[in-house]
Amino acid sequence: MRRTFAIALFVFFTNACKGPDKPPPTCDDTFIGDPSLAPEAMVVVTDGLSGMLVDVNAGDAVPLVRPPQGGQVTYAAVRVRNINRCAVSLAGRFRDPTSMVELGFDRRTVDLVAGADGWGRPDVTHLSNLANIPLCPDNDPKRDNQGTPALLELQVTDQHAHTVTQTVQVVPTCTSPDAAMRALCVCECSHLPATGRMCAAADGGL
Amino acid sequence: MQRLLVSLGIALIAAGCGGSSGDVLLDPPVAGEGFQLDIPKFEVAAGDEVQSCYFFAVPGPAGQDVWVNHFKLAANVGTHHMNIFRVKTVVGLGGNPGDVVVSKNGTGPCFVSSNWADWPLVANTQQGGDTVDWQLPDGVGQKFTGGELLMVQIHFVNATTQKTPSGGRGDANFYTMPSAPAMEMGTIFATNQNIRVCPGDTDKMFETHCKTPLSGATIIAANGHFHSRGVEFTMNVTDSLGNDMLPQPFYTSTAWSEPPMTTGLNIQIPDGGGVSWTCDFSADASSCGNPNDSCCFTFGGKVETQEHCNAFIYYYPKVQDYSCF
Repeated sequence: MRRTFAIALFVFFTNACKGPDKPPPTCDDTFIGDPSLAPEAMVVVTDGLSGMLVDVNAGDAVPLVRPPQGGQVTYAAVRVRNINRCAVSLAGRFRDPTSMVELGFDRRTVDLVAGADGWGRPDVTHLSNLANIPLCPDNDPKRDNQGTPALLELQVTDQHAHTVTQTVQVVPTCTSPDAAMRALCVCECSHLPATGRMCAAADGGL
Repeated sequence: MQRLLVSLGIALIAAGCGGSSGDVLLDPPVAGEGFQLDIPKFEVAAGDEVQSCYFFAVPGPAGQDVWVNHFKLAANVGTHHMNIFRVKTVVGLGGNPGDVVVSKNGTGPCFVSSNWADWPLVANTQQGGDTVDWQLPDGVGQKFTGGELLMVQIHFVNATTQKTPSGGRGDANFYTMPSAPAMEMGTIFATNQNIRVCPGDTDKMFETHCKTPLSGATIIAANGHFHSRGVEFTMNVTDSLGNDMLPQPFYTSTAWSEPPMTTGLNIQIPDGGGVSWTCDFSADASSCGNPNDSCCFTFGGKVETQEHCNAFIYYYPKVQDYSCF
């Protein structure tokens, strides 16, 4: 009886002192594709409205979209294979094609979903699963980011160091079907006047 | 002996609860040496989050330059933040000097960030129960004009993530300079896009770069802001190509509820470079943000159920007050 009590006491204190339980994994880290092949990727974007990811080819216009907090971003990702799918690092960047100067950058941790076509993609249902590459407000005193060619660079790296980078030249474009939102986008994505910017409405984020 | 034990118990309880239960009060600057923005005491009921927007005018003849080189910012225990902005375009939130707009629990115009979209940051603190005493470097000041409208947004939480034992209250002292300094201070406010952290997520990371076409600019102070799922907040400077320049971030915070305001920095922003900032989040598997979205925590000002990843940066010489969304 005394021994049972002592064991119970030991178990109680062991449990009491070990701290919170580690949350259960939310993703099974399966491999998408053929482990013997190098990772492959294709840049994809969405307009934030259609729920569709479309492939991006050289010279394509890519949408500049107003995210919840304001400004204008391009929602970009890759469809990828020959890579593990959980907690991958997805980085998206715009560069000036001439100077290679960075214009906008976003990196985040996402899970990929394996499609029936053998490619993995982020779940586009939640735009937080895509690189939200900020391009506006355009803080540059000279360069208009809307309508000017830029390099769109996407890199994905999984937890096992499989990595792939794709770069394509695109034209970031304000595409909102709403005329006022489109005008706001063009205003925010034009160079920053020395006297400061006055656009119809933007967002603050607190 | 019994009395001693009771006293010891009270002392232990007080120590365990941490912080003072009293008001944090600042004496106003001596006449002619500055001015005070005073937030009078208000109630924050159990379970509530109260965010109030107070409007003030900068004292002095209209249009006259007012230079400030020293701030003292103080707010009661339980404050989530006290941010001061210059009022620009009015969209759903406005007021005259002396007006206050009170909002609660994530709703109301003082919570709607689009209402102060183009309102430049002036100064901020997130250290409840404490005073941030911030002297700008020699030769640097922040410029205001007499009659200029300022808004103080102060947020208190009295729920599960933070407690407000003695009500909301805050003070901001602005100490003026007798003459214009050599250089003006500018501000950068940056917020991340579309963050989403779900129960069971561990070390979910978001990083963004804020591009500032500055040349020869120096960062002198900074602080980061996220909510209780936040594990680590960092800031670094990037070169024009987007590479981090410092081997270690110039700002790191692991204290989501009382993130430090780091002053005394002397960080150069490379020409054409900017600032990178990261937020790492973890959410307990049993936690719940939005029950209509798989209990995930998404962008928003309500501390209990939403998340942020915002950076406040102060630099000189000023070119513009920048925002990065």
